[in-house]
Amino acid sequence: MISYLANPRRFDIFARYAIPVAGALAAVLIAVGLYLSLIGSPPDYQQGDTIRIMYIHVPAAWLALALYFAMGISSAIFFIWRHNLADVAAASIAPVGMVFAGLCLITGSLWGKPTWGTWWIWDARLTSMLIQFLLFLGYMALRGALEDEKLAARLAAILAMAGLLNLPIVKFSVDWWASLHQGATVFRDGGPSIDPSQLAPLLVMAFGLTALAAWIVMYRMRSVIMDRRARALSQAREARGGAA
Amino acid sequence: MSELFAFSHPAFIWPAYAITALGVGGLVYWILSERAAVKKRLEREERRAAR
Repeated sequence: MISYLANPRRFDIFARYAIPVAGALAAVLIAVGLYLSLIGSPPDYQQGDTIRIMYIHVPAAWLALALYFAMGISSAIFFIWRHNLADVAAASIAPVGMVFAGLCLITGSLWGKPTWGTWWIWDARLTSMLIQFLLFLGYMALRGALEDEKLAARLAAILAMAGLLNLPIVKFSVDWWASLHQGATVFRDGGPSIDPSQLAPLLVMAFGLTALAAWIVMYRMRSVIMDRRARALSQAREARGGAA
Repeated sequence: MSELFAFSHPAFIWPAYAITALGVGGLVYWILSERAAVKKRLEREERRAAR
């Protein structure tokens, strides 16, 4: 499937059908997810209604990590096989991942204040997530800082691959170090420990935001491909003008 | 619906949802406006190339 879509023309045809499907799926799931998060689920017996922040905070965290993983793997494919579409994918994922990592930090802070009594603490989970946000930001800054786009893409790919090391640190930080942040309640040995009335809105919001992220990334990939085509035409025209 | 206005800690819950809506909405607005600019540029270059 991935090698089939590695051809930009085939990806373009696939994206024309996949983009509206992902968009429609995102609209429906997010609408249902918001209803379940704000109306259809009960308050937590300990945290009260602040538990409702979890339904956006946790999907944002999952997405930030999943998008970084996708960006890192795309960067590796570009770096090793020089596959331009993989570079387009990595460049398109970066701003989406940065927004979700930022939302994870902000909503986490808004959840932390009433729950822990503090907006921020230099805890292993929070700090490693801040590093994740800075890795997205650094990737985008590096791509934008250099005039030589090919060199910028290769250096950014190296940064993205090196940043993959932070993913297990974020995931296992709550197990490796004493942390204020709670441990895993969904992806854990023995299955989810969270109540089904809270698991349902969490999963619906997670799938909805994932569909939205897929829609944004595919839409942006097509924009980046169009931009590169416009630049190639412009360079060819300038070369013809220079030759004449 | 009335329970929406009776949440405990509304000063934390509503800003969290509002900031998420702003972040995601801003991202969608940015990619749509980026596409419009790129499309315009590509059409201009294709017209010039066809001449």
